[in-house]
Amino acid sequence: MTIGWRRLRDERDHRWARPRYSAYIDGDLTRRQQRRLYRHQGICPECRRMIASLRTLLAALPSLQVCPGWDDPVADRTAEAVMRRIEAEEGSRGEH
Amino acid sequence: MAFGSGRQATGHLTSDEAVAEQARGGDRAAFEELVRRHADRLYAVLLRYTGDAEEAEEATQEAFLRAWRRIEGFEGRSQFFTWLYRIGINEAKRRAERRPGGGRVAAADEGRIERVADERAGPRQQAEQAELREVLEKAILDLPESYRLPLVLRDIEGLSTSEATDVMELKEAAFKSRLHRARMIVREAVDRYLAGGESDSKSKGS
Repeated sequence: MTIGWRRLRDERDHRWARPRYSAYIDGDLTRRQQRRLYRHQGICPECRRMIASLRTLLAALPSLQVCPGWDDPVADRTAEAVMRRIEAEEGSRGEH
Repeated sequence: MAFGSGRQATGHLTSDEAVAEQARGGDRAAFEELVRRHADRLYAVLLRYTGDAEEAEEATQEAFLRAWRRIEGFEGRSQFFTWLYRIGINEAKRRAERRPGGGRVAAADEGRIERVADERAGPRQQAEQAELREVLEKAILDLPESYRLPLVLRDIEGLSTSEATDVMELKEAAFKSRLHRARMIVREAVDRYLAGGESDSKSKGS
């Protein structure tokens, strides 16, 4: 393949790859697409960098999960408040 | 991720749907069991959605009340928690629209969004982790709502794509496209922060 053709193919692959980083990481591409992106990122530093930083981001995001616990008993407070209101609502309905 | 499709059954012998069936028959104790099972996670989603702890807690309570009033309509076609999250998100939206200014709460409630620094790290690393976390929190809160929810549900809360599309009532392709955009925006914010940090340390070193 001539250098011109190769460059054209790489540019076309690059445009194709950009919106597919997430699908690639999540394993949502077909095997053929997966291979195409894998091959492309092997020769494209920008795609390689993007995919690596997306992977790092995805590894970090679950640590942002908010976990109310013993020091902030959201579930207890919510259950008490909700059940109190349900009781009040149904009590007042029973009076009518 | 710890929850995913097993979220509803974690540590419980009876499935949500079976407990919801009892609640449909008017069993308040059964409904209270559902509240206790799901309040923390629903609150966490709504906290990310609103950025405000008080608002998230009130929306969580309202969501459960609405769920109780509509429990007759829950026919088990979707999982209980996806049905509940839908109610919760709609409630948070309604409240945001009613608020003067009509928008979402702007600032992250940093006091309540728990910080989990790696205790094995040294003080400097811990400070860096906390800073990076802040950058992430802000980037997520700055996302447009239609991008923020896919990222929160899928990448933070660990729902599967099908559970998250069920919550958002979106087609899978639309959901994935929004999720990808959200990830790219947040990634860019983190990259900018890291690039700034590098140039800061270079300038300090020179």
